[in-house]
Amino acid sequence: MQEPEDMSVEARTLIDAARPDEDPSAEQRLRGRNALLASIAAGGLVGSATSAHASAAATHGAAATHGAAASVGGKTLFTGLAGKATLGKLGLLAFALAGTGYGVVRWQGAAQSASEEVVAVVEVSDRGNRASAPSVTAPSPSAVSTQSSQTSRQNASSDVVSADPEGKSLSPVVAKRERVEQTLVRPNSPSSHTQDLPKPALNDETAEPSTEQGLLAAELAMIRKAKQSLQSKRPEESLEWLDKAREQHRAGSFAQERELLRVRALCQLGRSSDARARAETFVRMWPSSPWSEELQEPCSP
Amino acid sequence: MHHKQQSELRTREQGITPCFADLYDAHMSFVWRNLRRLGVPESALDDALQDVFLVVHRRLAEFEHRSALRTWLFAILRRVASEYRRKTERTNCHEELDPEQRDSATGSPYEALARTQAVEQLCEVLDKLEESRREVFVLVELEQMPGPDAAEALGLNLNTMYTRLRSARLEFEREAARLRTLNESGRANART
Repeated sequence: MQEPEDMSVEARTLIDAARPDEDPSAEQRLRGRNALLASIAAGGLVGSATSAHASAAATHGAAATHGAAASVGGKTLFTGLAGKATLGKLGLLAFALAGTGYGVVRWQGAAQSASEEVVAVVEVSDRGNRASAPSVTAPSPSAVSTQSSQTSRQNASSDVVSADPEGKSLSPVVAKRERVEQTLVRPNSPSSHTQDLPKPALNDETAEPSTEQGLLAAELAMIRKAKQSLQSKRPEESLEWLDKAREQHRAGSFAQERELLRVRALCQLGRSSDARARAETFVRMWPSSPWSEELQEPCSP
Repeated sequence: MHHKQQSELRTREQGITPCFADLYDAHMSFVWRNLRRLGVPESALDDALQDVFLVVHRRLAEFEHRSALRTWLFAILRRVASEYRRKTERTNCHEELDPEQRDSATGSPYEALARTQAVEQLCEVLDKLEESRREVFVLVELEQMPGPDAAEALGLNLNTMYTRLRSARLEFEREAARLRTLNESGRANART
């Protein structure tokens, strides 16, 4: 069949006129990311009653969304979409970002030029998940962090963002408001804002992690070990952890973090040409990653 | 070798899986503008966007590069848009922009306003299209996706897709012309 012929100039003009303004502004992009992060935090309060429906809903995007967006009441809250596995996974992802160098997960876009700085704080501990994580045999974890302040803050943080086993679910409407409230809007301030921010009040140490969460926690634990080794100037050990993580979690969620640490470890070993090759691959694969800029010049002091 | 193929090859060789955060950065704009084109009201865009990416996150492992990523994304976002549209019953093209959004508009206030009107007018015309035609039109005419990909994203055979596209174009042209007439008579009235 022939493709239909083109439209009138008039119709085309209408379309073209709108085009420059159709993409989200930097601020809207930032808001979108913050909302996603904040919903991770809100994940601690929703979703536990829904896991039975999760996989069915996940294969029917429309139904799942309908459940998430439209139902009010305690029954189908965040069906599938915000089931604890999903949010747990997102939460862990956020934590991994924090663990690999972003003390506070922080995205800045237009806010840099605007008069305020929007900071999404997601502090997640894998304490609750570690219990069920597959045990890992590897070099002894005697790492003494050289960046002690950051590490100790992570260890001290016990805000487990996870599903609520008692089903204290919020309605989607409340949960969405929650997202907004979890996003802190602070006056313009110097860039050191890792110390004084309040933690989201989402504490649940009794969460039973799902298998998926267990796997994520295991992968994340390895990434953390790799990072600790690196901080203690033991790059070989770090590479061992990273190999192990890649081996056991080939389709893992922390590929970027893994590759970033690998580059840093290679730098520490003085294998700068290897590091550069890895870094180039990284930048090609993930040009918009927050780390791509750093990796333009790997091994630079 | 095609760039995408190279990238997939690298992925397999090195065991690197493109991750969710990267996907979000690369395709957030695509999802955003198409949700809006499919009639999600301005005030619900953030929520709809989030719902799309939660589905994406959940189903990322199922995506096996058999189709283009955007085809897959569109298939998800059109369902989300459809739910939001149903929920709000109709879209509101003239919805008040919230002050935060208005203030953040770049360029001069006039420029920002003019651009917003352009989007509004497009919204108004799209709003007149029947849902299934609107989807085809958005994908092929606005997103300029090749016909076969668009058919795949919408789960249609190619002939059906083109039939709908043809009707959608006629409707769109008719509505665009009507809008112009309205605008012109509005301006004429303002002058007198």
